[in-house]
Amino acid sequence: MKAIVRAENVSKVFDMGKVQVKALDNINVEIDEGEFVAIMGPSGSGKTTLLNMLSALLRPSAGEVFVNNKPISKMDDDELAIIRGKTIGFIFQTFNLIPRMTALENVMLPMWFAGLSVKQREERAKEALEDVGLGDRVDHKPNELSGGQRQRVAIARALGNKPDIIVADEPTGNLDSKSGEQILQIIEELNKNGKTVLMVTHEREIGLRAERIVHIKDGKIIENEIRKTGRRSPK
Amino acid sequence: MSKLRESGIDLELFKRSATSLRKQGMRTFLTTLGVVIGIAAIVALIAVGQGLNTSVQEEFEKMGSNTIIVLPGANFTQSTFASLEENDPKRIESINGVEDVFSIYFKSKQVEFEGVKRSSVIMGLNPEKQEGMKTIGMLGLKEGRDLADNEKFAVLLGERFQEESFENDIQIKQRLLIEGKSYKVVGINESGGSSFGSMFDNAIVMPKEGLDEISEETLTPFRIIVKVYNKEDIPDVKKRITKVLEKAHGEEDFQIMTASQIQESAGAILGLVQAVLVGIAAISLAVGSIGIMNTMFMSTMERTREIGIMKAIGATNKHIRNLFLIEAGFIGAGGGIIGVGIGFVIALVVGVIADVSGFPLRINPDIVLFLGAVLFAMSVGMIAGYIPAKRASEMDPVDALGHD
Repeated sequence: MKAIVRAENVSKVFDMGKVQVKALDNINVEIDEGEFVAIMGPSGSGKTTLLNMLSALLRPSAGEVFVNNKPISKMDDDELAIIRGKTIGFIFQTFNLIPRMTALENVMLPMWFAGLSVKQREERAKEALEDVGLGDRVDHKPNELSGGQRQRVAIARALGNKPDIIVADEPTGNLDSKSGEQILQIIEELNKNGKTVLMVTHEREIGLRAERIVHIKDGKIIENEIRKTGRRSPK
Repeated sequence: MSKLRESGIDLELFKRSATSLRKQGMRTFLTTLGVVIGIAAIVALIAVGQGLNTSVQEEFEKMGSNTIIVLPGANFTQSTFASLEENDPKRIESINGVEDVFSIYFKSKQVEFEGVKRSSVIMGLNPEKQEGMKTIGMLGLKEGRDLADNEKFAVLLGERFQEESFENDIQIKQRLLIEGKSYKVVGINESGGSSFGSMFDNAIVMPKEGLDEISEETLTPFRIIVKVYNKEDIPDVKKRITKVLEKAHGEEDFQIMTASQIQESAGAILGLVQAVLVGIAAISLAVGSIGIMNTMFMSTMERTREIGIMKAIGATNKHIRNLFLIEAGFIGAGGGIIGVGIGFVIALVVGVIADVSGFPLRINPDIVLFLGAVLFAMSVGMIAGYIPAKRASEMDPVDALGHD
């Protein structure tokens, strides 16, 4: 399997004025194409920092992250934005929809950034909203939708530019169990259809839905748990 | 188009900016106020300025640039009390280069019409000179006829005097009582002529001899209008008049004005008014742009999370910067459009007031001025919005996403 995202000796230090916080410490990890990987760890363990690093939101302080074999540490803001826009679809815990835009407009937004025509944007956005079961909610604003529906709009938005990777940060964290389950099913379905999925969660039960769980603590990977074969391999 | 898109500018950008401004209606409106005032001042100023220029130019075209005015008194304040000498017109007539001389005499008297009395201005002139005065726009009959030579009890009325002095309009052939004597109205002098014409607009005009009789004295000229053969000679003729009158009077107790001088002094007054208005406009635009900058800073702060979201899902710095720049441009342009409307209305009002006060001021809509003002306001907005927009565009997506 080809690695779609790869971190080599990655460290991340946050400069908090007088103190420096080492959020990631010499991380090595590979995410293969089509894989469903969960990143788990207690709060403050650095799991979100790792996710941000692997999804080109942050540059490493040391080491290198490769997305589709392209090193990101030397890229400028715009190059990173383009990588994120075209290669990665984001799903956030708090949905992060833009409140004054309709569902359709929210879904169209990343396609606008990627330079698609209005026609293409509309077609794809409607299709994506239908795929997540919200074909009849295109003109609703986020505050007119339930939490689960909002997260589905966010998923539709993540799919607009047909990204290779879906990055989900606690995607069910703000949802009731029923809606959460629906979201997880959609994510699993996406993975079955070939999308690489990278998900952060602190709930074991949700992590178990992935093929592999990367356990992180104090900025270090402490375990690489492969679920599919039932093997537990120490990092 | 693709180049436009590369720079992050397309229709979507305008739509997005407009939507977010609409959502903050009240704040957007208040923000535009400074720009509205500034642009209104600029538009009103330029429109009135243009109107004044046109009017002044038209005046001088009518008056003819080949005239010189002699008035009593060494300066403006003295001119009300001082007087010229009875023989001054004759002295001037004999000067080389002078084609004709028109003397105007002035007196204020009680006038009675249909039993109502009021104090009125009476102007005296030499009836023989009426044709000549028409050539420089001083006279222009609207109806009736000229004053005949030696016709002591006939008068011309200024159009405004005819219409506004008494309850009813005075008609030709009707009679007025001046100092108890009856005078027949033989003609109406047209209003809105030149500035000379407006001298007669609110007055009764009669032969000088008649005016002398009522006044029981030989009046001295109130104004002497000198027509020269060639306007190129005006400076020389002016010098000669000065020399002759100075010699006769023993001192320079008079003023000589030429068309270009009047134009200059009118221009100087206009310039002063314009400078004050430009000052006001500049201050309000500066305040307006600070307002826009402040609003844009607030807007970027409040929308930090939104900026983070947009950057996470693929917005480049340019996208974000342009989004806020266009928003600031919209605020500016919106203020500009309102300002143009208000400014033009102000100019129209000034025009009407000037017209009522007897100074014809034509205010014309000028598309170039309007578009220019809106574009200028938009640029002010965009310049003011640049720093906030740039700051927004350079936000770190992770920090911005973590912002509440």
